[in-house]
Parts: sequence; structure tokens; C-alpha cells
Amino acid sequence: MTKTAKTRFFLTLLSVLTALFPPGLSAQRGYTVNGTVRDTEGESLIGVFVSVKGTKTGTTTDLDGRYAITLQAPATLVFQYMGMENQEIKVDKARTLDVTMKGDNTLDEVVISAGYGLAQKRSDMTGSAFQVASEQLKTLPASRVDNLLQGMVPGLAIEESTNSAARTRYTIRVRGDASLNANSEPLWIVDGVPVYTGGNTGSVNGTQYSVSPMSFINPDDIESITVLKDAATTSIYGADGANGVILVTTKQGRGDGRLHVTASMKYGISRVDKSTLIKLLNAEQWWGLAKESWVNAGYDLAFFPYQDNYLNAYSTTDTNWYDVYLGTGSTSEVSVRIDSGSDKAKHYLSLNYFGDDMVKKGNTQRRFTLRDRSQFQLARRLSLDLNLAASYNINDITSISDSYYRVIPIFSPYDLDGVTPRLYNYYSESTDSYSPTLRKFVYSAVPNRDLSDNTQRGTTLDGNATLTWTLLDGLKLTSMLGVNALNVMELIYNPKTTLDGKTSYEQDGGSRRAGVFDYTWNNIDRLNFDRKFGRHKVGALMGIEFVSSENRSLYATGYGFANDHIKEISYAISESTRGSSSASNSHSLSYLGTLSYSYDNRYYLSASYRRQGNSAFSTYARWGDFSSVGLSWNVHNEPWFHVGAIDRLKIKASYGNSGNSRVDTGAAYGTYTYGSGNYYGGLMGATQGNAPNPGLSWENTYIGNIGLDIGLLGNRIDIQMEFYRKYTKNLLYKGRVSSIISDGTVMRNVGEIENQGFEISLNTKNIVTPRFTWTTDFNGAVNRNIIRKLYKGTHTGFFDYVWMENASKDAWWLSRWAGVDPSTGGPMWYDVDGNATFTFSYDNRVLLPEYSKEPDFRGGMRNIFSFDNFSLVAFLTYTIGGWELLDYGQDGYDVLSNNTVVEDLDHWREPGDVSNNPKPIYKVTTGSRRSSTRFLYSKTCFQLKNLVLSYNVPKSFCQKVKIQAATVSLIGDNVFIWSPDASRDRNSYKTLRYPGGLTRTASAQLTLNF
Amino acid sequence: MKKLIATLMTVLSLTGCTSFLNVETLGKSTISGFFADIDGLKAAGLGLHRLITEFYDDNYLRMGDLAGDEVILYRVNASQALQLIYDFESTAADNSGYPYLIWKRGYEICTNANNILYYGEQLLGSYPEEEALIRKHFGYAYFARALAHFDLLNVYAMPYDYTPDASHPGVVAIDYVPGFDSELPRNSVRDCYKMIIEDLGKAIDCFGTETERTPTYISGLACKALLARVYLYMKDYTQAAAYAKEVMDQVPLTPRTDYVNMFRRAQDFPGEGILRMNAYDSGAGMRSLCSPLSGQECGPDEAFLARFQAGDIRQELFTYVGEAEDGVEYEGKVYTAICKYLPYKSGVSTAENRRSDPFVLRVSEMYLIHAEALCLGGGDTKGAAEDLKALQARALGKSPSEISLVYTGSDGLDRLIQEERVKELCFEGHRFFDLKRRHEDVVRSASTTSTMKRLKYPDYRYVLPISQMEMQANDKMIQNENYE
Repeated sequence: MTKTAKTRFFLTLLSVLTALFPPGLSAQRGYTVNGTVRDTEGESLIGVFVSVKGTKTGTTTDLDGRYAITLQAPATLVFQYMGMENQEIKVDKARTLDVTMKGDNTLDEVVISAGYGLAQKRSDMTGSAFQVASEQLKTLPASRVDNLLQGMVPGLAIEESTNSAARTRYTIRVRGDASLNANSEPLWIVDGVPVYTGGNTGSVNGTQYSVSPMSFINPDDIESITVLKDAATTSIYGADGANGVILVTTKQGRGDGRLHVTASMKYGISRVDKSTLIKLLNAEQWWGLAKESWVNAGYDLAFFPYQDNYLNAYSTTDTNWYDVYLGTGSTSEVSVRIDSGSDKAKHYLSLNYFGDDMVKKGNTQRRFTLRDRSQFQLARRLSLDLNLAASYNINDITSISDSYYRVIPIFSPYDLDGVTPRLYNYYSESTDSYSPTLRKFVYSAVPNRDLSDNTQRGTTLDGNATLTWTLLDGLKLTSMLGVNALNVMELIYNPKTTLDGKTSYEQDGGSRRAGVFDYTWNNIDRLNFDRKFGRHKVGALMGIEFVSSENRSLYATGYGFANDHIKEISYAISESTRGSSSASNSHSLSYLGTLSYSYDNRYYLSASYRRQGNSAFSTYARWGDFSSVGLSWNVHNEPWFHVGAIDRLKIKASYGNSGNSRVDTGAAYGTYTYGSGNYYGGLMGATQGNAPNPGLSWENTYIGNIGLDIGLLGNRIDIQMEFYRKYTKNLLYKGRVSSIISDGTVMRNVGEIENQGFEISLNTKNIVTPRFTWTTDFNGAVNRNIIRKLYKGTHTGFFDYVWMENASKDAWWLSRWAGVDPSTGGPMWYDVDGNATFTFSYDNRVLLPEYSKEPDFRGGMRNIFSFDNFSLVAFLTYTIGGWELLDYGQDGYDVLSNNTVVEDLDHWREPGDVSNNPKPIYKVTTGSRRSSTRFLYSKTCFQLKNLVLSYNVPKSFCQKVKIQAATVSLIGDNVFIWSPDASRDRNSYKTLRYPGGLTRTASAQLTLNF
Repeated sequence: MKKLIATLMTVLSLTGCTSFLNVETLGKSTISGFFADIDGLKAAGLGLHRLITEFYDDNYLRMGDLAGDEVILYRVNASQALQLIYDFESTAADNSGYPYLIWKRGYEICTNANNILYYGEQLLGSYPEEEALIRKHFGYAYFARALAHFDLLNVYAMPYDYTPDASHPGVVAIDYVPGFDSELPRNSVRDCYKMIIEDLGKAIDCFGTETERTPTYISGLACKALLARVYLYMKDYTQAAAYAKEVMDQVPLTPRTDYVNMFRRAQDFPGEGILRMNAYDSGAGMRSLCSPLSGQECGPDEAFLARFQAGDIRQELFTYVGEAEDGVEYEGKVYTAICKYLPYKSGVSTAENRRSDPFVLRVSEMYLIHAEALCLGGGDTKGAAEDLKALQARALGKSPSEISLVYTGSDGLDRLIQEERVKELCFEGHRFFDLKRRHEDVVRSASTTSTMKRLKYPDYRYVLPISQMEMQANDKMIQNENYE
């Protein structure tokens, strides 16, 4: 940085600081300390803030870098300067104190872990990796790990699946979707061991209800999470790196010879954010619309199905089903971390309890985790690292499914006695007479919630042992053995008092017991070399990795129990019992290597290679080769580079490939299926399941990445920008072949898809003063995909989207809504030629590139304000653009059995009415609710995800109560969500996006360090 | 130190043995593992029979009758797929209806048959003592492949004599295990028939001299019966008559007393079946189609019922009387329905007594083939009339000598034979294909609910289109005329 630039900048700053710290505060008597402040190159620094520690006394250096300060007693002087490390020097008498300040490289000093013992400073990187530190995670909701990263990493998209599973599922995509039919989830690796994250849908295979294994990890144990995105960082992960790799590194002991104990408690209250609930009809509105639809269909109101009777008081019932299903939840968390040991033996132990009584009544999560990490320096050149973690999880589940919005308000959750969960309603289903009968109330989740058991007990055990032998300085031989085991027991019992428990057997009650057992182990043996020779730095890695994974599940069901207390299958009527088991497994073997070279911290070159074989592919196509090269140039380290405001300028580029092999293990070999569907004459027969595809092989993704890394104004502004293009070939594609070869779809390598995008991450220190700082971390990303090639150029149409060459897979494929015919109140669409038509046809679907599921831009922003002992963190996520298809309405068609959205009230009534909602007619199919552009909603929204106010208890107080430090925090999660088209009394993306609403939590946290 | 590193590297590379990747796949039966022993072969044989059962219990039989002239379709209950067949309105774009389903199911049989022949071959070497059993399974496979091709030809190709040399497009004759990139063009009808006859010949060899016959399994006799039908379709009357006679000599007609039970108590009265699929484990395709108690989709046409003389036992197969097990509201009520697939319920309904086993081949058909072949082949009207009398005598409860047939010339007798064919084989999947092979029009009665009252041979709709899905997935496929 040139002197003139600095001068200009700091003179401005000076005026701010001077205003904050008027010189009048300086003491008048005592002794004076003066001197000059210079940087490491001997240049004097202007505007260095010199203050007396613990007081508000201070001054700044002048244009020659000189300062003078008068003191009254022995004191500690603090020298602060942007982009430089603070220095503290004790003084007790008058003296000349010249100070040399060193550059503050805290940003650069963050060491980014890339696995396999590869760790680099950001300034040394050639590839794209984004690291999130524990500091950023500690106040986020602790229920699951994957959701933590939402909005935090540019290019990492986390979306809640809209389906109504008992537990929310997330789809996680790193730089878009690079597959059509293979699993597109990123690869998760915890301390070097790949973690089973469930199948394609992120759910555990084998249980009836899904609880994600990502909820079994204690976020408090995480030191950092690194997301690897480009070829230079992912190709070393070979087979499954193409969708990005997420590395979780857990905490370890400091080994500073002292005992550190950290205890923390957190308690929170949660309620649903009512502004995010679908706006539905209340009883009065429903009666009006239902009767109108009934009459419009030409039926007599005398035969209206719902009339008060011995079982139902329809006319006086007005149930808000949200109130029935949602209540006040609470979360509590207690954790203790003990960190001890010396440099010979470091130890880290953590115990954690997390409990969540969710706002969805009948859903709870309890998690107990233990992590123990011990590191021993066995001999001068030999060390051992043992890492063991166990987690025990109890989840009570009530699946509410679509009952939130589906059940009509005139049904009540309980019988007329007000306490017995209602199983039946009494109403008519005829249109030409009132002939009521008893009907099962299958859409009420209340009986199952109040009376049934639905529990999952999940245990995970992951551990690894690493032995490192330093052969020479810089040359290490490391061998690691890691294990990840998951075991889930699912226990469901539906008593006789529920519909699910009523069976055809004489005695009722139904029980299901299921077990899931997933094991993964891996072994990595590697040689790492890192050496500096003058200005040359050389690194190399050679290794071999074995991975074995095995997934097994089994279940038993039985019906007919003597009473509802003995729930085990052995007590069920024996002929009702059924059981089954299933298994799948695969092995992979890899040889890997990397080379890196750098010259004078200016030029960097890296290369990596991995050859991987996977048993899921047959011998013809078993092996895949993945490689990459990366280059970077630290322009700012060039002697000739003198650009005033720019402290850091780094240009990097990488290119290479990685793969995806996550397909069904039977796809390559072909299978025969035994099953009752193949029996003949009561004997067990079999027919071909999958046709064999011996050529089936890896998906291959080529990723090009260009990045620009800029530090401005003493690194107060830090910008990282990346452009990438991902091109996937040999897509694993489930497509049709001739029925002569195989019926149905087969997995084969056809097709190509391209993703390209831009990511930006911007970190700024907006205001930095000794007492007040404000920093902002902002990130954003855009991704676009285009299918470049498909099998024989054919397109595959789905309900509302289509895979077509040269089109985005994210574009909607819908009939275009043309509104309501003002003369008849009937629906209209445009046909493919753009002419209005009165009949719905799927043949009129057109591809709508302007309506894409993928947002134009998305990301997050974190603002941190700190003032003295207070800090305020506001974390905001945003989505701009993108469209979602959301429909919970009826247009009168099914309004007698399903509740509907309030928009249905704004319907066409008489000729001449201009309305977007057709005339409601009961059970007359007009197709108006078929998927069309009528139901597209803009995804633009801004969400204040996390708001934290913390107070660090002053040291002086801490010392009195004999603790080292204490922090009190008030935390809000999902504080606020805003979307531009939201309105008070009608639905929008905000209300339709989450059928059960967003949970808002307010918590208080106390952390104590001993 | 260098030495040490070198040693370490050697150890590392040795441990990386690629045998680590040779994993026995858990929880799935890979094809090669499946066919590694006799048990797999046996299961594949059973599976093959099951596929034929499904094909006959559903689409293939329905097609043969719905496109004919003896059925009334009840449109309220009937699925759209059935209506399209009934109205001759199938299109290639109909990817969920019959054009797709029959093709798919027919070739599913071929795929499984070809797997048995291809992967089973190695078993001969490893299990020489089981040769007879292995060969029997090859016999199943050859027969199944022939049957599937023959049925596919009936649906997707014009009859054998549509062109003088049968060079018009048939179906894809598939006698090998194709790869994903195999080219699969249509073969001519002539080539397809050639393969069918060869396959049946090979099958007969595979069954050898085995004479034990279980009608629910493919047998050497079934091969001969099918050959009789194939030759009849080719209008090779000499061969047709010879094969039909061979079968007739071995298996007697079911007597009149057992006739209705043969259909409605399949488990106890296998009857004259030569190949009759065991529907014990299957769904109830034909049963649900015909049952008057739950959404009856089709029934006999009135004009068709009028063709029966008084006292014809076969009439009994068109009156359904609700049984106690049907429930109080049905008990004793009388319905007009096709009862060939409606088993009597005796006591508690079980998988065994619910069976509605569809016939693939039975002896009565051999009598009709024999009669037609004699009549049209050499003009042996006397011989033909004997066959006809045997069937009529059974139906009417008389002796053949009491039957007098009134006709002039072989044409006149041929008409009587066809009339008898309609009455005997109705709703067993023959009618439309009979009309087609004989170049006759489909003429519906006045009571038909179809929009198609008369289809004139050789209208393009005598064949179904190749479904769009097949057209898209198979470069070499050629669409049937007028369906483009």
C-alpha cells in the first residue's frame, strides 16, 4: 500500500476517531511516553490508535507516525491499526517507545482443511473451498447439521422438501444439480470417514418414517465445516466428489498444559410463525362456499351431506386445525466440553444433551452425544490420534402429513364428549338423497398422535484411529482406520382405539418393529510430503483408500393383540405376522496422489489424481480416473505490484474431473427378482428385474473454475469471486430402452448436462474502533443448468417438468392459464399456439424458461455488531427470483371433503365478473386445478434466520466468581420472513411454502469457561 | 531411509489388491448368481409360466374378444384402455394402453425365455446328471418364446397371407439376449413364423419322450397343439390337421357333465386343457372384468347369446347366480355375465378355489382346427363334420349320430365350423384373431355399445400401432401403416 493512499484513508478515519475520543480526556500530569510507529518495512504509520488498556484514554499517530501520550500510573499501551496485529506493551515510566507493527494476516491464516492431511492457507489455494468456523455455528439451532449451512456458503443451496414427511427433509446441492437419476447430494465426510446420510432423499432406508442421520451429530463438536466445490479440491475424492464434498472437522484439545472446561446451557421457546401458515377457510366461509358449489352443481340443499346428528354437531363446530396440531415447543441444550493435556497428550471430551419438543405436537427429539478425542505423541516421530463419538437419539414422531390444510373446519378432532379422539364422522355421500353413514375419519392425525406409539431410537458410533509416523522432516506416513455405524430401531404401535389399529383380525392393534443397520468403514494409508527449499515449496501425497459400506434392514409386523399394553410381535395373532429383511453393499478402492509446488508465495501449481474402482460396476467398467490441475498467482506478492488500495490480489484457475457412482448396486449386473409377484402354482418363481448393463460406469463431471481474491484497504474489504462451469458426461440416466431389451427404465450412461454459475463472498469490516466494530459477511450465488444431450435426443416428460435437450431441467413445463371466462365463469388456458381454450389438456404444456425453479440469486448476509461487551449478530438469507408451483385450493370441486384456500372466496359469480378463480362447482371436472401457470409463485423472499444478542460478562466479575469467562446470549431463530407478494389476508409464497409453517424460536444461552 | 520408503510403497501397493472389489452383492440376486445352480433355473421356469399367466389373464385375452363381435362393453365401468380397443381407436401416443402393454408383456416373456436359454446353457456342463430337467426348462423357454412371438404377430402384424410371400412387417424376432445397443428391426412375418416353427420343433426335442402331462405346465403336447394353430394361421392345412389329430388322439374332450365345472372349478376339473395357466397366485384380470357384482366391464352381446340352441350346455356359462358368499344383497340374484372366469365359491373363499385359470390351448380347439383344416385343405367335409358333431353332441347332450348338419359344400361346412368356433371358444381370446386370419370383417350387432359398427378387412386398424415409447427407444422400429 502506498503512503499517499494510506494517508488519504486515515485522515478521514482520524476525524471519526477523534470525535469518539476527544483529547481532553488525556491526563494532564504524570509521565509521557512517545515514539514512532512503523510497519515491518520501516515506513511510518499515520493514524495508529494508541490507547491505555482498560480506559478510554488514547491518541493517534501524526503524519510522521509519531505519537505522545501522558500517563499517570503504570499502564499497558495498546497499538491498533487496520490490517495490523494489535500490540500491547507495558510501560511504567517516561520513555521513547518505537513500535513496529506486523501485518494482520488473520484472514490468510485460516487453514483450510481439504482432507487426506492436506491443509492450506487460503492464500495458497488454487481451488475453491469455503470454510465455516465453529464461531459461526454456535448460536444456530442445534437440531441438525446439514441445515446449519443454509445461506452461509456461496453456491451451496439447501431447500426444504415440500413434501409432508414427519421430519423436514432438505435437498442440498453444491453448484446445482449435475445428475438426472443418480444421487446429487454432496458427499459428507466427518474426520476422514464418509458418513451415511440416507438414500437419495436423505432418509434412512428401512424405516417407515424418515429421521435424517444428519440430526444425530452434535454441532457443538464441530471445529469447522469445509465445502469443496471445484475440481482442484474434489477430484481427490474421485467417485463421489462431483456433487461437492462437505468435510466436517471436529474439535481437539489445545494441549497447552491447562484444563479448560466450558459449560453451556441453552433453553428456548418456540412457536409457529403464524404469518407463514396457509390461509384457509373458517367454518362460516366454508359453509358458504360448500353450499354454493353444491347448488352450482345442480344439487338440492336438502341433500347436503353434513347435517347435525348424534355424532357430529356440524353447525356449531369451527375447528382451526392449526391449533389442533401446533402448540408451543421448547428446546433445551446442555453441553460440557473438557479440554486438557500437554503437547504430549491432548485430550478433548464433550458431553451434550439436546432436546426439542417441537411445535408440531407429538414430535420430540432427544439427543445424547459423547465425543472423546485423544492425541498422543508416542515418540518423537510417532503420534496417535483416537477419535470416538457416540450418539443416542430418541425421536417421537407424529406424521401430520396433509391434515393441516386438508381437513374441513366443521369436523372436530374429538368426539362430542370432547376427549375421545374422533375416529368416525357421520355424513352422507350421495348427491340425490340424504343418506348418511359412518365414515372413517382417516385424515385426522389426532388419534395416532394421542394414542399410538411411533418412536425411533437411533444410535450412531463413529470413530477413527490415525497413526502418523514422521519419517523425515516433512515426510509423514499416516494410516487411518475409520468406522461409521448407524443403527435405528423403529417402534410403531397402533392401539385398537385408532383406525390404523383396527384390522380384520378378531382382536385389533397393529405393531411394527423395524431395524436399520448401516456400516461404513474405511482405511486410508498415505505418505505426505511438505518441504520448503529456499523460496520453493513442494508438497506431495500418495495414498490408497479402501471403503466398504453395508446397509441392512429388517422388519416385522403383526396384528391382533390381547390388549394394548403388550405391543411386541410375539403376542400378535401368529398368522398375521410378517417379516422381511434386505441388504445391499459395495466396496471401493482408490489410489490417490497430489503434487503441489509454489515459488516465493507468488506462483502456485497443484495437481491431483485418483483412480477409483467400485464394486457396483461390473469388471468392464469398474475403474474411473479423476484428475485435476490448479494454478494460482498472488499478484500482490510481486515486487512490482503497487496499487494503493489493494492489499491482496489473487487469481486462480482450476480444471479437472470428478465422478458420481451412487447407483443401485444391481444396475450393472442385472437382477432376478423373487417375490410373490413371480410365484406360479404356489411355488416360488423369479423373473428378471433389472436388465444387465455391463458397461454401466461413472458419471463424469468436468469442472472449470476461475477465481479472484481481492483484499482492499488493509484487508478491511475482502472479496472472493468465482466463476465455474460444470459439465457432466455419461449421466447416469434412468431411461427407456426398447421393451424388447427390458421393460421399464434402465440405468445407463447417456446424456450430458451443464451447470454454470457465479459466486461471490464479500466480507467487510465497516467500522472498527476499540469499542465498536461492525462487520458484514455477504455471499450470493447464481447457477444455471442446461441439459445438453439426452438418449437419442428424446425428451422425458414428467408431470410438470421435462428433460429436453438444450433446455434447463429447472424450467416448468405447464399449460398456460388464461384466466376465467367472464361470461361463464369457466377456466381457460392457452393452447400450444397461444389460442384460448376451454378444455384442459396435457398436450398444451409448454416449456417455460422464464419460469424456473432455480432462483436468479441466493445467499446470505451476516452482520456482526459489537460494542464493548455486547455483540449483536443478525443472519439473513435471501432468495431472489425463481418460481414454485404451489396449490392447496379446490375451486369447489372437492370442497365438501377438503378445506381450501381463502382465494377460493374471490370466485366468479355472474356474467361480466372478472376473476382469476372460476365458478365453484362441486365434483364437476373442469380441470381448473390441474397444474398450470395459475399456481406459480415467485420464490423471492428474505428471511432473518438468526438474531443473537450476546453479553460477555466483564473479566473483573468473572474473577470474583472464579470463572474465566462467561457469556449470556439471547437468540432468535426464524425471526422474520418477508416476501414482496405477501399480503395480510391472502396467500403467497410465504404462506404456501411451508404447509406446517415456520417455527420461530427464542432462546437464552449461558456459556461458562472455567 | 530410501530403502524403507521403497519397502513401504511395496506394502501399500500390495494391500491394494483389486480383489477387494469382487464383492458378493447382498440382498439382490444378480443374473449370473441366479443362474449358477439348478434352483435358479427352476425358479426362472416358474417365473416364465407366471408371465404367460399374466399375459393371458389380462391384455391378450381381452384384446382377442373386445376387438371381436361377441362382447358388449359397459362403458360406465370399463377402463379407457378397454374402450379404445373396443372402438378401434388406439393410437401410438397411448403409452399406457394396449399398444404398449401387449408389446411389453409379450417381450417380457421373450426376455425371460432367452435368459433361460442363454444362462442355462452352462448348467448342462456343471450338472450333467440333471440334463433332463435342464432340457425340459429349455423346452419351456422355446415354447414360451414361440407363443409370445405368435401372439405379438396376431396383434401387431397383418395375417400370414396378407402378402403372397409373407414379406410384410412382422415383429422383432428375438432369439438372443440383446444388449442395450443392439439394433432391433422388425422381421418379416415369414421370418417370424419360421422362427416360431423352429422353436416349437426344438421344444419338442427338449421334452423328448416324456409323456407325463400336467396341463398347467408347458409340455411337448402343448408344442404340438400350438403348431396345429400356427399352421392353421399359415393355411398349411395338412400340417395343421396332422398336429391337431396327434393331440386329439392323446387327450379326450371333457365330458358334458364336467363341462361347466371345467371353467368354474378350475382347481378340481383341469379337463381337456393342454396348457392352462394356473392363476393361483395371480391377480384376477379376467375375473374382475366379467364379475357382475363389482363394476362389470363387459358381458356377452345379446345377438351372440341368441346363437345358442336350447339345451346347449355352453349357455349355462352366461348366467351368473349370486351365491351366499357374495353377500346377502346378491344371493340368488341372476345376472347375465361371462362366467368362464367366475369360479364357484364353495364355503370360505381361498386362493385355491378363487382360481380362474385361463386356457392357452385345449382339445376342443384341436377339433375345430382339425375340422377347418380338413374342410378347407382337401375338402374332406365328412371328416370335418365328424369333428363338429363331436363338439355339438357334447354341448347338446346327444350322441354324435343324433346330430345332423345341414350345409352345402365345403363353404357351407366352413361356416358351420366358424359358428361352432364362436360358441366353443368365445371369450378365450380367439375371435378377433380368427376374423383377421380369415380376412373377415368385424361386424357388430345392433346392440353394440361401440362406435365402430363394422370394420372392413383389411382396414389398418386390424393391427395395433407400435407404441410411441417403443418408437422413441428403438431407432430401427417401423410404425404400422396409417399410425404415423
